[in-house]
Amino acid sequence: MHEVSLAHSLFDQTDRARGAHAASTVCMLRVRVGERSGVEADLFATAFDAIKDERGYPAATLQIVSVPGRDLILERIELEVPDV
Amino acid sequence: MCDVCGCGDPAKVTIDVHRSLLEDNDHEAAHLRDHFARHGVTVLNLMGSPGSGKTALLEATAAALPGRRLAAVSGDLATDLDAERLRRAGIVSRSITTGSACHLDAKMVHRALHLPDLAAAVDRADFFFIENVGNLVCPAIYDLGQQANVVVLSVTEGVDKPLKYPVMFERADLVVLSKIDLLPYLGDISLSTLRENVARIRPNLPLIATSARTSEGIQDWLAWLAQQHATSPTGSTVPSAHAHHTH
Repeated sequence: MHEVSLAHSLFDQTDRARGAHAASTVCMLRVRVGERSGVEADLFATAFDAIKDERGYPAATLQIVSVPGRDLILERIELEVPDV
Repeated sequence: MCDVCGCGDPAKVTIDVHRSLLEDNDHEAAHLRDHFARHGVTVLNLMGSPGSGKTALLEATAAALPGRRLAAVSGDLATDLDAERLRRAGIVSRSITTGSACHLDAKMVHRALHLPDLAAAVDRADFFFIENVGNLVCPAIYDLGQQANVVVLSVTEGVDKPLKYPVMFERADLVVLSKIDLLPYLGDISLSTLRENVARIRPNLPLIATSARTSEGIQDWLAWLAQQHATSPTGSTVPSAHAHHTH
């Protein structure tokens, strides 16, 4: 199931992209998944939930936006920055 | 405001990323493609179901091309059996044992190219075949730095496979239909229906009907290979970035 590999790639991208917000809590990742991308949205969501704890994102939810074409894109990260 | 310690509510911050999940793989694949071009190697990614005849096609290829320098890697969850068969056929070959992974990615191919005997053989080869893990789904989405994707489909799998696994056939540059010597025993398998189903997914996708056992169609496959070799990109698109990186 290549969805597990892709879920790891998603968290790799997130590790890099959160940059200065490394200490914040990631609460949502929005991913655009093309209908012809070769990725099953349900399986991808299952893989995401299965590995999110070990990857350090226990509070993260996955929002999948289905689109035509072959896209497989991390669009947006939503974080909670403590207002102290 | 929190009424325990007085801290405020967390603020939501969004980061717009817009990057492909396959970015790392594609970067690695571009590096491989550049390396292959610099060495004048024609690289083909063979995909298909387990038992479709990928290894047998390569054995037949080696038998028909004794003067050509051929190298290969075979992706399998376990065992070295396919690579052993290819070595017996005269192809310099190593296994990529993937464990539980259902596909090869560019990093696995790159790692294999650092195996000393394979590295030297690939750099001198006319053709380097990447025999992917037997699977009609997962391997399709990973770029391995290949020049072309070849899907091996055996007649015993049925005529409906292109319709059921469209992503694989959409990304193919050639379909090699295998085991056509068995057609007389498969009353319900029509070659014309199979061709129609391939064309419904991708019109004009070439299809070569072969039998590794009888050698029927192998000459057509060799002609396609020769055409690929003649049109291989040569030279480097990244002149100096990896000049130090020899395999």
